[in-house]
Amino acid sequence: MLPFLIVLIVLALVAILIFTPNPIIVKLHGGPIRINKKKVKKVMLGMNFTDGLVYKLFIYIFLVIVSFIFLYPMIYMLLTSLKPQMDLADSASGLLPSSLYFRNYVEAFKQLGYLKALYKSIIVAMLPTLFNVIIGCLTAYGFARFNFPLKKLWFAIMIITYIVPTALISIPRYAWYAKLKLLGSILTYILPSSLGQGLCFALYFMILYSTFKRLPVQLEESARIDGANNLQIFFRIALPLVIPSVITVLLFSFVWYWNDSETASMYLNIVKAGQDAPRWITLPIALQNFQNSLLDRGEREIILYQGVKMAAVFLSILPLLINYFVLQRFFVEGIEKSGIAGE
Amino acid sequence: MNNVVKDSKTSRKPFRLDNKKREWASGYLFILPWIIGVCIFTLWPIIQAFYYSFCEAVFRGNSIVATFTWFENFKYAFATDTKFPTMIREYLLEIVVQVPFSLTFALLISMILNQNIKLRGMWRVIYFLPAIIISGPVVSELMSQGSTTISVASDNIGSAIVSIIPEFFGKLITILFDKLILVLWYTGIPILIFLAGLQRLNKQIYEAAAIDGASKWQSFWKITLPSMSSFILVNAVYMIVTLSNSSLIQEAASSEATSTMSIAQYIATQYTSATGRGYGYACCLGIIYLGIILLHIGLYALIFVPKKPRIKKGGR
Repeated sequence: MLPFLIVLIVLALVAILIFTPNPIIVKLHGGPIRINKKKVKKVMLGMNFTDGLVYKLFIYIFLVIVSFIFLYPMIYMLLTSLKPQMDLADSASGLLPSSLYFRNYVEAFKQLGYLKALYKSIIVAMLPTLFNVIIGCLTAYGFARFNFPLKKLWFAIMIITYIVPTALISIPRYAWYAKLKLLGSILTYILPSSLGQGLCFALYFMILYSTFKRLPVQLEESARIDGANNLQIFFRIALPLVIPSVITVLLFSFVWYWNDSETASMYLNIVKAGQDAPRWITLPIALQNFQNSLLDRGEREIILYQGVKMAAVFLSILPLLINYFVLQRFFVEGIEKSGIAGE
Repeated sequence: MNNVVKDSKTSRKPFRLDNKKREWASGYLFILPWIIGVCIFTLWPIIQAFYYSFCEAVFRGNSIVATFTWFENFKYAFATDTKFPTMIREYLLEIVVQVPFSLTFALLISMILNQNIKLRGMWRVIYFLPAIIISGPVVSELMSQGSTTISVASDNIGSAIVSIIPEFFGKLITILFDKLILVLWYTGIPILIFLAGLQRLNKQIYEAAAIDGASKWQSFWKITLPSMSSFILVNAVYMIVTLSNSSLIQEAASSEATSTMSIAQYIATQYTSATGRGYGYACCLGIIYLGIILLHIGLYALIFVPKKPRIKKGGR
């Protein structure tokens, strides 16, 4: 409501400015006050509109509304996860919990098998990420610095690997893994990523490629004259200069592997022969399993369990949130500096 | 130091020519792991899927038994299958509305953030946050609670607007608003990419235009938009690919229609579950899906591929 009120007040002021004669005289006890209309207009609309008060207010209100939209699901999740069962059963209760109830988190912690799933999640996200970064740097450097025949063709293929829907690629891959009895093993993640076919690899490639492209060639040339070979140049000179982009890629790859519940439920959430339970239960899978186990229960219990469910959701993304708020500078920097679409 | 740099510049050309073959070899060595990977894990699967899409193929134990049937699968997909054509139609409707909308939104936000604005870092953190946490179970959980939709129908003003305009556009607007938050959540990376592009624009061009009497509005259409075209293309590709691969958005769409599956999931059930029509049919659907995505991206490429620059850039 507040933003609308502010907008109304501002509009009213603008209207007054337009429709009253100059100068405006306000009669008060101590005598009339003269307000110079031109001065007010300058403050309100600025020299060229964009530095005026009206424009600024409008922009900030817009930003606040949009960020509310962006944050609303998060706020909703947090508040629901803190609701006691009483509030959940009562459909008339509003968004805010009547009292803070942390038992939901204890329950969710137990249901998810949190520590174990967390450990598994970190491994499943970290290993392929390392491969993504290593292969990504090598490939990007190769494309950015060397000329070789069929370069354009390989570049086009790189873009195609990004465009092809995962649904199509995963059909034959699934068949192979089934044939090689790899389903349910972490090798299904490591094999593709160690050969540069990990999740969203082409995107990381583009970030690294445009960063390498922007490095001055002269540095490397002078090293070459000093007698360094290609590998030495790559490791000693080029790589240290693109560390911010490497960190960005590392973070993104980690986050997206962490979140990728579809691949996980397809390749990892499978009981391997000779085991009684899937070995690699990551947090998203644990969350899915927990939700599915709730489906068997009655309607009423599902409603009562909403708090626990939201707590579980929050717990499963908590490591990412911490990660993001601590390292958010790096998430943004690499992309901003390299500018994927640059030249 | 200066001397060395100069020397390297002058000696660069003959050096490269003499060692052309060596440069080829080292280039290929650097990208060798990727080439092996792309052949095994991407190109070969595509070829295989293409072949199997013309076959009646099923799993027998651990191997695939295939018999060649020409276009039977494609005929079945469009003529007999009741679900797939509706899914494709819904998907097209969605993506045709959502991509331009999200791109416009991202450009708008990034242009605002590119100005002299207080707490710029904070806004950026907020707008980028969803890109971090967006994930299958998390969002589907939030969606099932109805916390990701801004319902048009329940809103008086919204329903009034929808009832006035023709049915088709009304439907488009409903689609947009039903998934508004979800679509906005995906704009984190496009906003960043646009910001990077805007920061690289030369301020002097605007000054020159202003001196020549161009308004802000004109300089947006004549300077900002043309110089952002390559960024728009990249973002369009990003949005199309992300939206097509994320089952969430489609899930939300198709749940009202025929089933609660996305196209990707529908394809997966064809070969993983007993009720599916098997491996060959799944490949066929995948190929059709790929074709649609390529067409759509091609459309954007036609509009936004940067034209050959009339003035050659100096430097580099």
